[in-house]
Amino acid sequence: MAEEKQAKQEKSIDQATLEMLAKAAEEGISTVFDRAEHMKPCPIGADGSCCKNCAMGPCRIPLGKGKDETPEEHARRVGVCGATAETIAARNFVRMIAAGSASHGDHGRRVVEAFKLMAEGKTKDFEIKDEQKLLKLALDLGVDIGDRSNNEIALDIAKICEREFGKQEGELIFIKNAPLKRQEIWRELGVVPRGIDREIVELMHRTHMGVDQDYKNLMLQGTRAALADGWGGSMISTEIQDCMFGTPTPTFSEINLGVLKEENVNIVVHGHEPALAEMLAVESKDPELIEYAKSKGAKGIGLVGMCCTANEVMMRHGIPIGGNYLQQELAIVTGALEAMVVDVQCIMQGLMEVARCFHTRLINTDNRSRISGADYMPFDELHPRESAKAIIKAAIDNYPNRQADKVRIPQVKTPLIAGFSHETINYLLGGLFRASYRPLNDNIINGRIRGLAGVVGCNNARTPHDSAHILMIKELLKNDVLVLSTGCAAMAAAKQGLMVPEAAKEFCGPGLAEVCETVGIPPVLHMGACIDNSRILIAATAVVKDGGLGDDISDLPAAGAAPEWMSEKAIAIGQYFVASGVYTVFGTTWPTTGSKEFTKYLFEGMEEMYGGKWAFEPDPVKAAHLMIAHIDKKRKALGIDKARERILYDMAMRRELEG
Amino acid sequence: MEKKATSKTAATGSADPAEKFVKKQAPGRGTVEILAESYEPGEPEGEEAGRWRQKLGDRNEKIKYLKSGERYWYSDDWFGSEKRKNPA
Ligand code: SF4
Ligand code: SF4
Repeated sequence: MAEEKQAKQEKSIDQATLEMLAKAAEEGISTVFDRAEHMKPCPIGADGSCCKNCAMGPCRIPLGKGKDETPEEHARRVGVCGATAETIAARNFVRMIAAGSASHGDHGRRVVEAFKLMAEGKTKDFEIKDEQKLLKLALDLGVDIGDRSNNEIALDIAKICEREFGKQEGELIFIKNAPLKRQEIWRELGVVPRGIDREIVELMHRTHMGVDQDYKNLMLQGTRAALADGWGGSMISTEIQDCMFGTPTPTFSEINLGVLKEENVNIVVHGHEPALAEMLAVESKDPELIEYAKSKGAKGIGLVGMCCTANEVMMRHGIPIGGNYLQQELAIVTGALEAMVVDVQCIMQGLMEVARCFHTRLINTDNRSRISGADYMPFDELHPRESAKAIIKAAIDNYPNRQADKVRIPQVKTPLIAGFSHETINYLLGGLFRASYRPLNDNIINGRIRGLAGVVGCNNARTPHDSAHILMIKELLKNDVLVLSTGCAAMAAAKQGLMVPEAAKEFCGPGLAEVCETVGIPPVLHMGACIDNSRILIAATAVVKDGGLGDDISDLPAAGAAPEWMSEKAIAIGQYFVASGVYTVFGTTWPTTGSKEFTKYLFEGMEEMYGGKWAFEPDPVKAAHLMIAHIDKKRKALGIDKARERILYDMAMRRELEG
Repeated sequence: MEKKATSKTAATGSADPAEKFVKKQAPGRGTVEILAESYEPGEPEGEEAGRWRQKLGDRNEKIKYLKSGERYWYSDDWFGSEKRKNPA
């Protein structure tokens, strides 16, 4: 019994998750946690030593564990076509980048399409929520402002952004948002993306059987496609979403499965693209629909987010978050969900099987992502309000089917403050009339803040849920490193109470605590969904441009990490961070160990080219130490390592001085 | 973020807020005494609490803020680390 409890505890550090896993076990429901236990990862695929790019394969060329191979043994380790371990590992790696960049790019394209429909007046349900952001984009893109209406300006912006996807030559426009030195590095290496789609298509071509056989050359194109994500597809999504739905500002909310209320019609919105979720957020407050819910015996309508869609609607509307990636099935296991509404990305196919055990309707809204057995209620971009109303109504109609004896909601939830867009950080640090990153730079230079870390990414059923995120983040905070977070990592931090200002006192080193307390910010800043990692790029650029910390992102005392990554998008994000000059540490597993040479290139060779590089460290505390060592190395190079020692006077030291 | 109006001095019961200290573990230096938190206890209230962007009125005001605040690094007469460089 004790052993069983121990095994369960190892699955997650989150109480709500453990409670729902116990309920699932009692009711004989299989979840991702069980499946991960029964299916061990294939060691050959895990190392990137398997190729199935043509029908002469699949070719499996595993590297023998625990012994060094001789050059002869290495030479024999090739596929049927002669592809080496280097080529195979590199092709697999860059195909992950292609898939990740494609996902963010396609998300961006949909957002631009909705924006264009709005600007053309074809849909009345969306409007410009943030004129400030619209004007900023107009200035960035050289769109005439004058006395033109917001929609006229928006239409020009939409057309320019739309062209970024199909452009065949030149440079992506948002590349110009990067520090000047960074742009020069990219130009010299020939990795500036021409068009978002073109780089992904070329990458797929180059990984076809018998094309690019030089891993360094493959990685150049991999980088180009990754940059087309971070400084292209993702950045366009974030900017246009801010225009249409509002730039995030500090918002108070709550997180974890305890936000579900038994007396409500509960709807979880899960996935990534915010247009439908935005409308659901608005319509869930519609008095007529609330009345309708009451007519069915409920007290009201409870809209709750899951995964990155949750981040989007929480930051803009304060809609509570049910949980992160590994909690999606568990939300249904509560027995209290009338509907789970999904669109694209990170939606487990296992959801349908779990939903069958309850009355929950799984509602599939996107034609690109159909789910067998789920209800298909397509999101109509021309009539988003109608789509949202129909979905909420379907959920309400399902309320009488709920079985009271199957309902058990864990009473676990935590408050959080989110919405730290780059614009908000800029404002919070300087106020409306002095908005600037200066105070942040000053506090990095004087050593109160030792450095910055972006801790982002997913959950992965191969590592205890949320554990690596939290161990890493706490270690960083203790060492005065301010943490910026997005995606499921941000949700992990929020669940552990790290996203309220009070956390500074409890978890931070004295310098960081002082800064957070003065500004009134939490020590872990929630910057949004995984698409919003582009906000971190812009924040890093703002720090560079403000001065005093070098003239490129690679000069900053900063590092990035995704300790529980699982998605191909994470690899694309990691590569655009590395190529932007950031030291980036991944945990859990590393997909290229089948080729020592290629892995060495990623872990060491990249630094000479980009100033940033990859690292892999499954122990989150050790990984945090690697990041801190990198931060210290950068501080030394900037000549601010001494200042750090000078400034950190505690009270005893101060009294001594005064005495 | 707006904070509750309760005065800190009243909340701590001390005449000088700067006299509030806590003991903390500092990396490599064991237990140290540092200034305690200086923010007001509690949470921002109401949906509007954090909405600072609405404070900007008309278009001119917004453009002025963009030029002086959010986009000043990209202006022709920028300052900071890249001052000496040619425009991109
Ligand atoms: S491309 Fe080469 S290594 Fe890959 S499956 Fe075909 S023969 Fe095997
Ligand atoms: S962080 Fe990862 S798991 Fe979470 S929503 Fe984003 S891609 Fe999916």
